[in-house]
Amino acid sequence: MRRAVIVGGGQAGYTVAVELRRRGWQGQVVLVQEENHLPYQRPPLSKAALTDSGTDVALAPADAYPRHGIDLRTGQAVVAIDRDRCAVELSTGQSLGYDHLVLATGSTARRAAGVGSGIEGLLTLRGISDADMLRRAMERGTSMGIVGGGFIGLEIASAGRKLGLDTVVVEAQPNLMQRVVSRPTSAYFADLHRTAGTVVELSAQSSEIVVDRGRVTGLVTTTGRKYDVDFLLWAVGALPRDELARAAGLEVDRGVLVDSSLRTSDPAISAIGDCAVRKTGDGPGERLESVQNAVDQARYVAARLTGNPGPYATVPWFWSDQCGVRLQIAGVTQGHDETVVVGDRAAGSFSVYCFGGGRFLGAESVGRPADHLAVRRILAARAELRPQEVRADGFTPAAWIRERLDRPARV
Amino acid sequence: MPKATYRAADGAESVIEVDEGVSLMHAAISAGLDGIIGECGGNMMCATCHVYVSDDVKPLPPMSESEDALLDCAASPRRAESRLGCQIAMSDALDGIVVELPEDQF
Repeated sequence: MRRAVIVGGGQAGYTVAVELRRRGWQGQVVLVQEENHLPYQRPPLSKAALTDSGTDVALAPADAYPRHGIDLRTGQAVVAIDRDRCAVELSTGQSLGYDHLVLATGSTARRAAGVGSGIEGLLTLRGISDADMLRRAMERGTSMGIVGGGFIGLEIASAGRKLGLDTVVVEAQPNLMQRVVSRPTSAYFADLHRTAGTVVELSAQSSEIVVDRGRVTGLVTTTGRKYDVDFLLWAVGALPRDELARAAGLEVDRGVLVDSSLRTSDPAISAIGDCAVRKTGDGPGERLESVQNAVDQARYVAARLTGNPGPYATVPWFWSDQCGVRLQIAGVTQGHDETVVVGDRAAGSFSVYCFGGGRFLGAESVGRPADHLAVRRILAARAELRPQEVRADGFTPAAWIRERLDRPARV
Repeated sequence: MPKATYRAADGAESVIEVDEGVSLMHAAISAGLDGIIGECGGNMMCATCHVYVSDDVKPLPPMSESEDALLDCAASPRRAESRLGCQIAMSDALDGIVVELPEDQF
């Protein structure tokens, strides 16, 4: 009997397992989850889980796995891949042969450099245990320092303010969420956080972590400012977990390299989700950290393995909840050189359309869910939206795409 | 405890007890039902918890602009009775509600 082994029980690994079964995979499905938790979703960990200890994040109840014939192992890690024998070695000592292996190992929180372990009050957020520790620190403390003004840092800052903590966010770049988000949207959120009472320091890094008797008591930034804090959250990004792949001799480059069909350099092994860098042609390759990417890539591999590959056609989307406001992003707008803002930023209802070399890349929306969804349709249709069309009076993406989809094709 | 009936596309019915305040999406997933996915965890980003509520006697919560826009993106055809399961929280007033699950969620 054939066996599919999935390494990692996050959103991607879970989805591959469920989708293989749904699409009629006739062999065994083994899902190896290293944490001692049922597969769970991460978005609530930087949101509701920080203010509500009862937040349930499990993707499915325990009995769903045996019911669907999925052999779920929790608290077991894959420690090595033996590609010659097509087997993985588990932390239990067991060896598991595979006909196909799916790496869904995710990513890990980047840690503060040069800081010894065992310092209390220096936290990162990746999994449930981290979230529990962070929530307890937030309940007990009165002041929190956050190094990193990306999505995680800012969502946690929002939770902090909700709990009444003095909160400071220190961001190295001149703009919040600069890696992913346009200037107009970034500026909007900086205002939002400051209005909520968070101190936001931009173009600043941690210069010194003040430690007293083994615990964090303060943060000094490169601008010379000093903050007294009860604990520090290090939220400076995630690193893809490609160590297993590297040790097994698979091609890696800041993630597990996969081709357009999500196959690694070994045809019996695929990689999906946070850990995978998808390379088509000569470009640098794309690695996205999102629920959408994990789920769509998982579905694609399951379809491919059950004989129904189809084209790889996904539209990246993402959301972040900060200060009671939802930011929705459709497409990948990195590298844009032009933006067009439509709407009323003061009223919290606007969309920012991003273009690169005149080509539409995507849009960020606040308070305009219909815009966000219409942009997803535009991207799915690969319709050529131009900046001057967005600037035209009365432009809405919904009307624009509806007109294009209804128009009969030129023969 | 109030009950909800889920009718799958193949006609199979499941009757589930649902705590007050729990969404029809969450209840279906917790009960291990196929046919509802909820990949975004009830955050109105995905439309994979699409249901048809044929029972118009039950007082459903009003539909928000977000839900309305998302239903247009659902994989299965949108009907007048279409709703997102994550937006319907169970209550005593909805006891006995019957929802149909669509053929496809994506």
